[in-house]
Amino acid sequence: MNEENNNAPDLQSLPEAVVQRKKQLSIVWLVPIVAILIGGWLAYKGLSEKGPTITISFESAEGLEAGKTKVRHKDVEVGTVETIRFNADLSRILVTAELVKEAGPYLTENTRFWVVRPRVTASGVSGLGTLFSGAYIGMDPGREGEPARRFEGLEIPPVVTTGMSGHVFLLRAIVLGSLDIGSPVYYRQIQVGQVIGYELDEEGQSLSIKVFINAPHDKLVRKNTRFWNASGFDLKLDAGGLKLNTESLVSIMMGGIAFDTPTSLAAGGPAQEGHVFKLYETRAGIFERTYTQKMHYILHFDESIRGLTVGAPVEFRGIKIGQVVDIKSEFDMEKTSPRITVLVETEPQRWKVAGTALSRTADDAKKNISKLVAKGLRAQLKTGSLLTGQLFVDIDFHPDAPNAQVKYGEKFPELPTIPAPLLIITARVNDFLSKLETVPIEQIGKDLGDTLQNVKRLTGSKELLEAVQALNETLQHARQLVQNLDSNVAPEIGSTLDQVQKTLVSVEGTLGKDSPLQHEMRRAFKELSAAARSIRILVDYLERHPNALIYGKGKAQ
Amino acid sequence: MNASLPTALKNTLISCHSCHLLCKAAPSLEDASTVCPRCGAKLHSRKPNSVARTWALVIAAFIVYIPANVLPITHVMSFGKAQSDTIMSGVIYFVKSGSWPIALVIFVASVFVPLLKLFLLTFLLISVQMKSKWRPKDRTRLYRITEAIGRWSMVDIYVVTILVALVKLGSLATIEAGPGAIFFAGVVIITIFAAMSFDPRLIWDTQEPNYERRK
Repeated sequence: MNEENNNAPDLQSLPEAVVQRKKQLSIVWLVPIVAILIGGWLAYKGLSEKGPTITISFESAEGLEAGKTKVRHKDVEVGTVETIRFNADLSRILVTAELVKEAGPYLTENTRFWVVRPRVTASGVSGLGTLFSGAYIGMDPGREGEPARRFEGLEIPPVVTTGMSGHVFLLRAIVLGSLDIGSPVYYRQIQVGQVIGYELDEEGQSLSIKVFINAPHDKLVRKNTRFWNASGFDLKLDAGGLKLNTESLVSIMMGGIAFDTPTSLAAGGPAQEGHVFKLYETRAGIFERTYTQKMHYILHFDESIRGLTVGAPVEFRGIKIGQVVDIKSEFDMEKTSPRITVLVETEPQRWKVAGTALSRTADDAKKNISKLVAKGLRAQLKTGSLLTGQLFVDIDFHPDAPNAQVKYGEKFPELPTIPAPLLIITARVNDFLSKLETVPIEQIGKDLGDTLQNVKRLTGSKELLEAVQALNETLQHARQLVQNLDSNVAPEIGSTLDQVQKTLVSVEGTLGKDSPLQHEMRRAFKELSAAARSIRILVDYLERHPNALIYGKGKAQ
Repeated sequence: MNASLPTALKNTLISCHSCHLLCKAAPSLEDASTVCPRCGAKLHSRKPNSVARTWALVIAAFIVYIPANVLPITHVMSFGKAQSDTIMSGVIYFVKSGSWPIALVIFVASVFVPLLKLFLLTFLLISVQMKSKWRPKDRTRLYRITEAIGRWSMVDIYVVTILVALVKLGSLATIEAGPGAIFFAGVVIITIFAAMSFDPRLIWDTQEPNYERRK
């Protein structure tokens, strides 16, 4: 589009203006630019929101679908399962899931994953919502710990998730009983927590049970709190008789743990997270305090110990101080006498000792025991229950017991024993009978015969006759004395009686029928009766007209 | 082609786009544009800026084509189970479930046709820019195909809109359009515009013996 200026021929030599074509960019280029912007923004958004990819291993992929199954925390979607495949030896399945970016910081070694499926257990039904929507993977974020991207999926949903407030405590037990994950924990028969796990110790000798106590009940767990197994029945037949304990119907069916803080003990502070407690087998067990110091003694019994079992109590005046730990029978071929050795375990700490006499060193303990035995400390078998015939070992002072000493054997000292009370009675009766046997009955009979002969001889003697005559004379003297009294004392009595009669006559005059006193009294009684009559009339009237009390007596009708 | 054919351009004639009146081209001025003496529409001997515009739209369509296929086109909720499908996952689903014809229809209409259109336009643009003289008749035919098939890609969008409107059964089943649907509609519309902005006469201009680069 060149344009030439031809107006002036003399200006031919002028340079030609350069016409530049408009280099405007077509507006249509905005379209790809916008498309790039949108596409770029989408790509950035997609990349920046791309969360971590994790791998979870499960036993089975039941209900899981790649690309569809969601990962949820508190029912909020936090990710999607990408792929499902086997691990190298086909033993487990590996699920890779892509989570949202926000989940990143919560993926630590403590994060837990499990598959939420419909479940029916003794403690309830869960996951019903997944019947229609399909299973999903539940996530419990773990805040603390090393970041992790590979996880072991749980086969059972965890009972306690991080969001719940409360405390976890450990219980040491010998056996699990009928407890299981999810078993309730009761405090005064209110459910306040659950068993969340258990595991054997390394040696396999005991196990620790993890319990979770929900807030605010976790405050109830103190350092001196006692936990006991409230599972099922507790049927016990022992020296104390028959005992049947249960906690609740649920705990009968699925086991349970109960705890309480005995008030008798000194109050401990609140227990910290993870505090270890001993799990007692029964409720009664919690009242048996645990003692670290134990002393063993050997007891020898010659009598039958039928009814004595390992675990039978050792008591001092009704207070349990220990228990039987072993029973063994021995036979001494030299003496050809059998005897039974019983090993008992006592807990000296059960004793509150006044004074400084009992120190804790072994030598002192020996000295003390010797002292006590010298004062008559003996062991004895006693019947705990007449019904069951259970025996227990009673230790008490028997000052009149035969002298004995503590014997120090190879391992344990031996306490002297005395026979059971029933045996003592038998022994005494035996003693008596044997003594009775030695009584010389024939001699006694002969002596008795001699005595009777002597009596016969005495009655026929002259001295007795004289004595009787003397007695006769004494009686005659007595009769004379009585006659004397008759003649001298009787007239005096007669005059006295006359005087008395006169006095009575004058009294009669005063109180007689027509006496003034009588007359006055009769009048007084008449007046009194008239007064009573008028009171009755007044009362009758008031009964009919109670308002008369306020308004006065009305007009006579 | 016979190069001696008289063309409107050679004779400085312009055909109106709107009413197809053939009129003499006025010398164009910088700040003025020529208009049709009959209907008043702007006159151009060729579509203005045709190559650049088409390029812009084709590139835009290529860009938008990516999210259209990556993002889900539908969200299906049935019995609380949510499922998002992209175009390709839908095709794969129908192939897996044995519905080959449906899979084929979807694939052709939604994947094949838009791509074919974009590649055809790209090819035509490149050939025009290279001043290629190769088989102008066939290339024109390709252009006609491009124009004709473009609108059929909208089938997908129609299906989605009908489904979204029909399947509203509350918690039982619900279908919602995903973001992919918007991008897909964008691809279809942009390619339609791209095809429109391309001037097939450019294919033939190179056949002229004294062809020079148009200004």
